[in-house]
Amino acid sequence: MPDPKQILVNDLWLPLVKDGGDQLFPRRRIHKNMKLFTLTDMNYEEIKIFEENKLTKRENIIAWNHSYQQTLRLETELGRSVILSEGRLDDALNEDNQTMPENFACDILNLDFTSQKPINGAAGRIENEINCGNILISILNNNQMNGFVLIYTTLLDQFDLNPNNIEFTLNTPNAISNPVSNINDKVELIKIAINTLCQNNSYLISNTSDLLSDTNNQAVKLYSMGIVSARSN
Amino acid sequence: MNISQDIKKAKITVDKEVVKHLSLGLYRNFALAIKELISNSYDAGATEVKLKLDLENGRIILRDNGRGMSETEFKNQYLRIGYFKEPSKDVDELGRMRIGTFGIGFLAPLPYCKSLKIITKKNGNKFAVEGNIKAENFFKKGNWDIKDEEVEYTVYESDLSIDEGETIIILENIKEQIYDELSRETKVTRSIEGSGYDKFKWTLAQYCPIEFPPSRKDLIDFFGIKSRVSMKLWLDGIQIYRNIPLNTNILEKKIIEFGGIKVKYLIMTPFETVKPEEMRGLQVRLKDVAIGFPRDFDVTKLGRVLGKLNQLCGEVHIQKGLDNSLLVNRDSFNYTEDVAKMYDFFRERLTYWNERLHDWANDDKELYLALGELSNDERILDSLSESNLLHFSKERLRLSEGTLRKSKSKTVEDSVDRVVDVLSKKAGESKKIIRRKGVISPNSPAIEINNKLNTITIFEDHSAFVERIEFDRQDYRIQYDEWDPSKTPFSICQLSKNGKNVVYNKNHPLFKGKLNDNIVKRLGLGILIILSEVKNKEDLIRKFNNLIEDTFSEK
Repeated sequence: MPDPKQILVNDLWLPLVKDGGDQLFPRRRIHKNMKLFTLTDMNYEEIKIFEENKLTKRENIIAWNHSYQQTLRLETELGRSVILSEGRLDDALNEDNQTMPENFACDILNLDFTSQKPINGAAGRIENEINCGNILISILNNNQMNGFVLIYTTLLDQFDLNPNNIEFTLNTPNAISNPVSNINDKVELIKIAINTLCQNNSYLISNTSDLLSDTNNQAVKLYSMGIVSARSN
Repeated sequence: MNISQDIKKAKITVDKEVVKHLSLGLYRNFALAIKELISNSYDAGATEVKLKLDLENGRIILRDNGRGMSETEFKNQYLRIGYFKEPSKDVDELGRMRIGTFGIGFLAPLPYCKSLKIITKKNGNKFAVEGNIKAENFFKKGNWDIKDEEVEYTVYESDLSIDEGETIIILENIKEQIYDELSRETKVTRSIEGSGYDKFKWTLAQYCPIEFPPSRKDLIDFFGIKSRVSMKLWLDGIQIYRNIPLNTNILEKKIIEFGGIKVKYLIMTPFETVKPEEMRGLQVRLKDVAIGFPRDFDVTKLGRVLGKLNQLCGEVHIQKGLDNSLLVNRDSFNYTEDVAKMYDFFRERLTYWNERLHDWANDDKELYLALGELSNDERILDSLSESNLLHFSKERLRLSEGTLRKSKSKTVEDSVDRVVDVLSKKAGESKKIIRRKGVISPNSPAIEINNKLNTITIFEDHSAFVERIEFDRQDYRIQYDEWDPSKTPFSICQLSKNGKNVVYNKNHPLFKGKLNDNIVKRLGLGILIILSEVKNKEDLIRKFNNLIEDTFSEK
């Protein structure tokens, strides 16, 4: 059975990052040399593929992993990249806004929360992840980044989503129940949330794609969505 | 086994004999200290070792996928300094012979950091052991201070699968001198150019039992043992391979025995100075690990001047017989009768190859001079090199374009004859030389070598071999012959019947003296033509003057 991450990287993330590279750095013809922030683990397929496609270089990568041991392993694997670890990113950022350096800047923001195992199987996880994304996008906005590729990957499980737990106001259609329990509604809510957090930070989305796939557990779906976004003014 | 994360304590115990060894000045080089850790990984059955120099954070991390250690092994073997293991007589499941015997490898990096953290998980075991060794307690003010010491450690469930083994070693708070040395960007030695980091990388690649570069299949095939699983090493995410100087050609490879010692060796040369200079000589290896630096086996100390010695390099792999003879500093062996025989042998081989290279350089020079401007035809040079008829480059032999041009005009000899003579001498009976007449395109090579038929074909009428001279806007093809100059008025040269060729007399004394052959040729031809064609006195004087001007105007 093919590795689900490999499918995600090849079918969704790579085309999106390539498009983002062309849009954000049209003058960089041979090597896009984009700065990558990625939540990853020892299966760092996205780094290998992005490097192979001349989208990023090891020295332009910041990788985050929640586990101390895995971080040490990643340090020896990735060489010149910066590896960070202060627990799960969503916990670290939501508890302390000082976790990320003030001058944090990246062109590709790969928030693959499924790499931060074990997955926190509790209500409010996805809302926390979205809030964490919001914090990072505001930092990029504060640091005058012109645009970015945002990839958000999560597991949709049995827990309902509660839009009230998201720290910014969402303009949800009436058709979506509250709390959100249906898979399609959860996907819709995530899309709205990502769109909103970009708009709130003065970024416009020019390309959106997503992928919903099965996991070994029938009740849990793997969902990944990505956008290319550029400053609106 | 206690699996809680409670902090436990174990004692580092010391075999006092070790202190004596350590005081000999062991581990003076940081890269060699790291090499000791890598050797431990090799012995632990690692197929991959990954090293990260995190200088900004003052850390060095080494991770291997070897067997790892259980809590018991950690306490009773790892922390037992000087835990002696008999050299292994048999190979392990990976086909390897154990490198370490003295049980002091883990001490090696202690002088360079304040603490050493080790996280290890034995394959087949669920639990990892994490211990902290206060390195600074073992090395004070430049001296070892080995004593029994307590080490705090914890045991916890690992996130790895049960069948995986792993050891991670982190040198924390590395000393400032190491940081300075590794981050220095200037030349640190006369030979290895680049930063201290480059030198560090070079040293690891030289000493560790790692793979040859994939491009050197010849070395992999010769030294590789099919039943042995090799170890790969990465430094900062980039795989490194054993150092092999660029463009080296194998001169000799053999397996040979000296009493009870069996070695597999090869001698190579790049046909120029081996760079960096640390690689000159033969690198002795025991169990694939370098023993000291490459050495010349003291050839030069015997009072011999071996000018080409710096063009020789190679490897000597001890296959049998010296397992128990390695000195604790790992630089050399106990000097036994068999070791002496081995050293004598390699002294003789290095002397032999030094002389051969001298001979080849002289022969090559002669061939380049015979080829003249043909030595710019890469096709000819490549095929001569492939056939082992040419070894050194023109540049290496300091032959300038000017020298090669002159070589043709100064010699009163048919250039085909000259090339045939030199090639016959070089090729001996290994190749048949065929002289072929007839028109050939100037774009085709003037010399063709067929290694299947073992022939060298020389196209005599190729424009590259045809020597020409111009006089009074008339072009003449030069030929050579021999006759007695005293028996004819045409003592220097004569024209052919059709008047298109000029034949020069190789026997004329002017061609044997110090005069420039080209001047003699021009004057000889000019006088001949003027006297046979010009009747008017004024014309005669004018033509002679023109001849003198043309001849001496450095055309």
